[in-house]
Amino acid sequence: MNPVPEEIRRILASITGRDADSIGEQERLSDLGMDSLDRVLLAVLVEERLGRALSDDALTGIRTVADLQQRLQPEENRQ
Amino acid sequence: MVDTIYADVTVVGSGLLGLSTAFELVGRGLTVAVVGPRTGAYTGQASRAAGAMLTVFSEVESSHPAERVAVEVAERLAARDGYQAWLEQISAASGRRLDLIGGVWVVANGYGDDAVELKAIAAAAETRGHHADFASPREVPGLAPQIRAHEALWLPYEASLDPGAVMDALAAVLHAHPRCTWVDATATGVHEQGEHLVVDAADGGSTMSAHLVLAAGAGIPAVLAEGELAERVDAPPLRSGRGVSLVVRAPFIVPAAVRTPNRGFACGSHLVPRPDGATYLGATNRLSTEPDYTTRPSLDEIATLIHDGAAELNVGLREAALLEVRVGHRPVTIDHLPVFGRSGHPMVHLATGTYRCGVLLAPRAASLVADGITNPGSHADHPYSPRRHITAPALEDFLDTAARGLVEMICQPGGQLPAGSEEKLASFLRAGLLEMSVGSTTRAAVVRRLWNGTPMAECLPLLMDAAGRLR
Amino acid sequence: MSITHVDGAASAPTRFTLSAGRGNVLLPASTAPQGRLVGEYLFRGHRMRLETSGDGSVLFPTDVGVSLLAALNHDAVVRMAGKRVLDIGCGSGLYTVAVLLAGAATVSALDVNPACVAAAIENVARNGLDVDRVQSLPVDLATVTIDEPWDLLVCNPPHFPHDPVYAGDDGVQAALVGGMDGRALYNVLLARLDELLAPDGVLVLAHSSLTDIARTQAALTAAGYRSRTVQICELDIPLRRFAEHRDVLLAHLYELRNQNRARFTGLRFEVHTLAITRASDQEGGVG
Repeated sequence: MNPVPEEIRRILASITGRDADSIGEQERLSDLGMDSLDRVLLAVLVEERLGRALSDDALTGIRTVADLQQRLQPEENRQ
Repeated sequence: MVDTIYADVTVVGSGLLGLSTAFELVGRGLTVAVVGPRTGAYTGQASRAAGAMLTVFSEVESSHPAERVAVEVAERLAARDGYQAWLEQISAASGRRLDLIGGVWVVANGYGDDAVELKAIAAAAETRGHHADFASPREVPGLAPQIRAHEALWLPYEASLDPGAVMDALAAVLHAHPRCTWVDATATGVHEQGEHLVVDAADGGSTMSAHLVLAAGAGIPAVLAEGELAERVDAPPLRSGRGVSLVVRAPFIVPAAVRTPNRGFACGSHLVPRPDGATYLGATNRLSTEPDYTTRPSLDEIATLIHDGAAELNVGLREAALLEVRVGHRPVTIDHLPVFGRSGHPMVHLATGTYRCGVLLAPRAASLVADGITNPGSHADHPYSPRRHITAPALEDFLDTAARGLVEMICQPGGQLPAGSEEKLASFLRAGLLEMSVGSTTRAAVVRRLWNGTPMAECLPLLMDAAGRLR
Repeated sequence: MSITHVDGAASAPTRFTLSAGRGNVLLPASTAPQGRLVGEYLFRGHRMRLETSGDGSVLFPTDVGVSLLAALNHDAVVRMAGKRVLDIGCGSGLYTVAVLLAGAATVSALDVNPACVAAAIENVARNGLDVDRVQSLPVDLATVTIDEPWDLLVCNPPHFPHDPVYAGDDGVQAALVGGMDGRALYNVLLARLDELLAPDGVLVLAHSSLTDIARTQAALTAAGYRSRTVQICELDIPLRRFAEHRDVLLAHLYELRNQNRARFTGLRFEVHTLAITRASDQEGGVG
């Protein structure tokens, strides 16, 4: 099973204070209360915990949790 | 199938800089395609949220290096010198009247250093042969702040105007001009096709031209995107200072603009007279790490604006009737200077980065960019050239002088710390931020990432905010 | 007396458009061994093959030049069988080869760049044609000695205005740059047309819209000539060779356009193929 979505939810939970299980895939990051500084924190935590880089340009294109998951799929599984 | 539009120049961006440049280019016999939304109340467009004041001298800060002041004031003065004639040109072409309201008052409030700022502004004016008349705050019409002002400075060569009226007039001229085609949609991307530069628009149409002018402010990075063309253009990094402003009907009269000097990384507060007796109140300034044009002004931004306006300018604002709220993203470069002219690509030109001086510098930008097209190479060494070398300062070098600004921001107008405490707090902030920027902690990674992305003074409040968020 | 010119019924010019952003649409160039450029073209039913060295010494035909052959493909009225032809600015020999294939008796291949005359003769041989039918004229049109006027003149003159930043001594520049306003060769041609053209001869001219078509037509009328527009082709201004300095070139073109001496928008312009004859000639010629 792909551990990435769970880890993503944990990261988002630590940033937003929301319960990890309550974070839905279609929710927008802005609806989770994340501002641009939170997004920078997100990028840093993703790099630390998943070893994946998220450039500023990539961050701009991510609107929902699903976008983030899609972006961070393991390389082999990307379509 | 939508027809392709051929033009000599495509101007991306329908704010004041884009429209001014398009106006200059058609005036020189070229055909121009403008790509940008034509609607009036375009959320996020800096020109629409502007005051505006023609701040030839009052943007000067005592902490700025003399060289920077010399360059900026020279350019602003050149713009001001030609401004009346430029407005008359637009008036004649559009049949609409465009008035300048002469003079700007700069007032010094409770901040100890405001007096120093006023002196720096006055010196900038006087060394260039212009008046800067010190006066009592009682003489300033429209000034009744909560925090007592202790000094005022009248700058008769500065002025204010309604930027919306100028833009509407330019839009009317361009809309009717046989050499101008306006694509009323946002530009979504640009690429090369042979020697043509192709701009794609959100309505499915596209333009093909020999030259391209990027005048979409903080939205330029999104249009340019990554790729071969962006690499060739090699545009200096652009950031945005997000500002919220209000237009109100106030229970007092402001016959000429009144402002505080710049401080605390913001541009202070200012009241600007508008047509029909309305009054403009501006503006917040917060550095964005990404300009989301769809984000509406938050109540916090509006509350800050009202609070500062009442405290520093006129308590009567609390009784003012709200007419409009606007948000704008001021494009700014890392060295705070605009970018006007040819980029790394011979056919791509930039007209942006004007931060708080876009309305004043618009005709200057138009002239420099148009010269780069009709007389290539003419301004290659201009201080605002996009090819100039821009150094990014290291955080530690920067904090030496900038930590003080953080303290001023924390204290706010009227705030006072016990004697000696300001120094201690500044030192502490400097040491703390520096310490937090080194090492391999998450916090250090965040601080470094923020600073490397925007190595400029306005980043410091963000560093403080970000560093403090992590538990 | 054989009459070479076209019939008098004035038909509207053929118009066609080449899509933007691509070069060598009419005669695509492929790369062959040793960097040579090769291409093929079908002219009046004859397959012809062109080659240049690819080192930049001789210009490979551009769409501007080939559009003239396209005009003659559509409009077969200009007869070539048995004619004496002068190819002015022969370049790689595009017109020289084409008119020989269409039955011309002889071609004088004139070009100020001797490498071009040599390349033209090579291409004649390459197409299996007799090189003895070609007269080599590596000279300037302004000073060439005329033994006998020609029945058919074919010309695609250079049309770009000069600027030292891009116009060097490269032989190819002569093919593209024509003095301060781009009209250098047009002016020489007009000045010597009376002596160059046989009494019932035709000049087929690829006229760029960058070089004041109206002025040429006025000059022709004043000198007793009639000009028929056979074809108008809309295409990209061929800037490929000047890619680095196209901003300078365009700045000169903007000035000319402001004086109504050039017509173009963005990077699009027109090439008008003109068939020019003496106004006194009879209508309805029989070849």
